[in-house]
Parts: sequence; structure tokens; C-alpha cells
Amino acid sequence: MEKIGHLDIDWQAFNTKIDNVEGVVKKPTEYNWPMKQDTYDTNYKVDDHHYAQATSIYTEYVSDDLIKYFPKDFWPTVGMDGNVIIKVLEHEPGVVTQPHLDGYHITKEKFGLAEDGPVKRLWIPCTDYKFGHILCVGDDFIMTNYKAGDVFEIPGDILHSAGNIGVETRRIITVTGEALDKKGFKGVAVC
Amino acid sequence: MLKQDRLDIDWQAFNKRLDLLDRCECNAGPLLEHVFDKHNIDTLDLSDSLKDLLNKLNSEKQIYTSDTFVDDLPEGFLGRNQIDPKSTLIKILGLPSGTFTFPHTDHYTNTKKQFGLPEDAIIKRLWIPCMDYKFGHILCLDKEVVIDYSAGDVFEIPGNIMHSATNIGIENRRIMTITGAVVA
Repeated sequence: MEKIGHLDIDWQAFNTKIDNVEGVVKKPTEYNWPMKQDTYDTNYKVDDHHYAQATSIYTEYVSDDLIKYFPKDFWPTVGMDGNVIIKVLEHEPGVVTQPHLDGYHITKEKFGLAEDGPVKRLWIPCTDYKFGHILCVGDDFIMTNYKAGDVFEIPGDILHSAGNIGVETRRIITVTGEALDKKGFKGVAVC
Repeated sequence: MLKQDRLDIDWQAFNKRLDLLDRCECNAGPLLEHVFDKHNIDTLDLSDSLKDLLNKLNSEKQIYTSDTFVDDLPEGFLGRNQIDPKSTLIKILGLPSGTFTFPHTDHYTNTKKQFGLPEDAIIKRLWIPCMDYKFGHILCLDKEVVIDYSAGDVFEIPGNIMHSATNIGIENRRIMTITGAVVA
């Protein structure tokens, strides 16, 4: 995953607002283990596992106002138009996102996109890299050495998982929308 | 964490031996009380229920032990890694997907106790993967993540640096630790 840009905002102020749940709605993510199990059954084999409900639910912050943090001239640099879904995702120590592929169903439905995409998902850390903060993508990549605001694109058709086995909360932003530059992914039917 | 040696054994046969519990036994990881407090990371704002679950997941580890592991090492391996064969403890740790070893530093309590070593004995721990790197198999050591290794690569874990491990992949993870007193 190569860095494709940088979102240059006051990350300390941004994180303080999120800490204070200011202008955003904080909620636990849906426990979608059965859907993930479908992914496994359909797309690949998984050994016995212990992905438990309590450690597989992370926190998300949502608001239509999150887009205000993105300057208008940001969108052309990443091949998108600003019609996007933005979420702030948070993993406490010990919490993981199970291995999965991306389907982009909610984004396609919201913006009336064709079922075969292409859709792009940006991944933007809200803090510099810290001990135990993990993003695994495919067989040979783990995200490290990033700075708050670095912008990456998650290849949704490659198996990926994330988690926090450190001692500080992990917080990242995902931005999902149509890939106007066609450098996106169509998403998998079962994800 | 730099690779410092190779342990060249037949890893396929060794893993099969573990699968079959041939000349070894397998136990669950210990269910530790107050693990977060013990490792001085109790400032974490974690709910008690999450702490309990993390502790439980820690105990889902599979720990393989055997009286023969030390004798089965190739001749000269311990010597060239400055470890005393008479005070060497070898464990194989299996981490199924979704399990977790909480952040900790090493105190080598079991090794010191088993071999009657003094509290200030100088101990070394080698970390050796039993399989090539696979998706989601994670060892974090400070700001380093150890990946891109092959079965049998030998690393030394600096026990005074906080480290943690997990398997957020889809295949079981299995590693060997060799812990022993450093030969003067």
C-alpha cells in the first residue's frame, strides 16, 4: 500500500473533538461475524478461530460534518469527487477487525453506483504509528511507519485485517466513494 | 529485531510431530489474573469484561512442551547462541486465529524457577517461527513488526522491550521460544 497523499489538518484538535464526541455520533460497530463467516466459506479456508464478539466489535464515529475536514482541492488528488462516506474507526487495545474483503454495498446503495464499481476506500491514520497498531493486507504487507494524515488506499479485493495489540487506542478514518480515476475495486459479493 | 541464526531442522516433520502430539504434550496457556496490572499497563481504560476476555483469549494459546526438545536441537546450536544447554527451556506456542498475547516484558520466571537460577541471572530468549510468515501473524516489538521471515529463522527477543503478538489471519500460527542462561 503506497501513500497517495496527505490530509493536512490539525490532528490534535481533531482528536480532541472526537475524544469529546463533539459533532459526531459514537456507536459500536455491528457484530457481523455471520457475514464474515460467509466470506470465509465462499472465498477461502480458515482454520479454527477465536474471533469473539467482544473483541471484534470496535467503535465508529459518524457525522455528515466530517467532510468539512477535507479541503475541496483534496478530492481530485485522490481520484474522488467528495461524494463519500466518512467514518472514524477506533480500536481499543485487544480489539480487532477480522480478516475480510470489502464489498462497498452501503456506498454503492447510497450513491447509486453500479454493482461492479469501481469504488475506492481511503485509509487515513489519525495518529502517528504506535506500538501494536496493526493493519495487515495480503500475504506480505503490514502498515507501519506512517504519520497522522498520511493517505493510503486499501485494496478491498485483497484479504485484510486490523487490530490493536498495543497499549494506546488506535484511531483511523476511512473514506469510501466512487473511484473517478477508475483505480478502484468493484467489491466482492460476499464480504 | 535482527535475524541472527538459522535453526535448520525438518520443520514439516516437526510440525507434524506437534500435530500428532508425538513425544510432547500440549496445554492451554495460563489464565492469568490481573495481567494488565501485573505488567504496569493498568492505566488502560479497559472495561473489566474486556480485560477478562483478553485474558481468556490469552489462555486459548496452545503450549507444547517436551523433555526431548532440547536434545533434538542440532549439535552446537545452543553453544553458538551462547545458551547453556543445562538451563534451557523450550516451548512451542500455537496461536489460533483471533487469539492474542497481551503486551508484556519478559521476566523469565519459569526458567529461573525450573533451573534454580538467581534472580539476577542473565537470560536470553530466542524466537523462532515454525512456519514461514503468513497473513495476520504478528509480533510487535516496540514500533517494529516482525514479518517476512522463514521457518527456522532465529531472532532474539529483547525482554526489556514491551512486545505483544496476535494472529488476525486465517491459519494457525506456531512459534518456538528457547530460553536459557547465557554462558559467560
